[in-house]
Amino acid sequence: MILSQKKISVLVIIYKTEVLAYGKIKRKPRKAHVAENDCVACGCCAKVCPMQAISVYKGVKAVVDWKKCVGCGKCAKECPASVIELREIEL
Amino acid sequence: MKKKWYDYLWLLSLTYLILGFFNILFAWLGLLCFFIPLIIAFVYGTKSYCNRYCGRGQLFSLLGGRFGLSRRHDIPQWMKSKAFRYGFLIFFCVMFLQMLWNTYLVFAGTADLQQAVTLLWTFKLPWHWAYLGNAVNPGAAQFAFGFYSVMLTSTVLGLITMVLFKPRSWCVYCPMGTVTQLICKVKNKE
Repeated sequence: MILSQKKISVLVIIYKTEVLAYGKIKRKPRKAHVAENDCVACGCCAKVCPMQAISVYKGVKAVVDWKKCVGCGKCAKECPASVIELREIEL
Repeated sequence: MKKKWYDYLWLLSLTYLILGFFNILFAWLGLLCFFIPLIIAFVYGTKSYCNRYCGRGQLFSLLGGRFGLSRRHDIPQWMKSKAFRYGFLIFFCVMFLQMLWNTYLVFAGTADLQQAVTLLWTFKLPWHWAYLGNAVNPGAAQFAFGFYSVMLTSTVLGLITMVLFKPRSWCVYCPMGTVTQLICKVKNKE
């Protein structure tokens, strides 16, 4: 297969932006974050979490285990008080 | 995920509301919804009643979630503020005490039994068919009417906010939820 000059230059650009820059601009994973002051500890989030990563701590607030959380956002959608949001979080 | 027995407690909540339509004395069973969460909060210091066993919450999430009767909008900021939640709790308690006072008056014989269910603390609905006679003290029947009013009112409020906001919006300002969370906060601070 013979590549034209134009096609090669496009491939080079793709290589530079996607492959070389990957290590530098990689985004942090997004995880569920609870605004603890407004949490009513109803436990709706824990019910829908597919990873069992969120639980109600001592009846006071919901707590996320960021090691288990995959950032699917189901809890944020379910939360009746809308106190959960996805944030980029560094472990 | 496999359903557990406590995932069907919404049936109990629904049955409770229906039974109260036919015989008001069933309203006394509603006291369970008051005492079980309090006992769990006092003894274990958790809100597992809300988290697992609350039939009303399950009913709302079924109607609003599965049946799609909810707009699924965010609840306004003021409705989840501490001021509104505690304010509603106090208002609810005052209305509850007033209901107990009415019951006392009927027990004492100074007031007559009101065979009506008061919706949203204002509208008196006729409910005389649910009172089948003089088998019990009229005071006990008055308490049943009053308690059923409380339960029906909170269900109607919950349904309204379910339609407007997310299915279990009631949980945000539910007085029982607020009280049990307060108990847990105090208990777990030690």
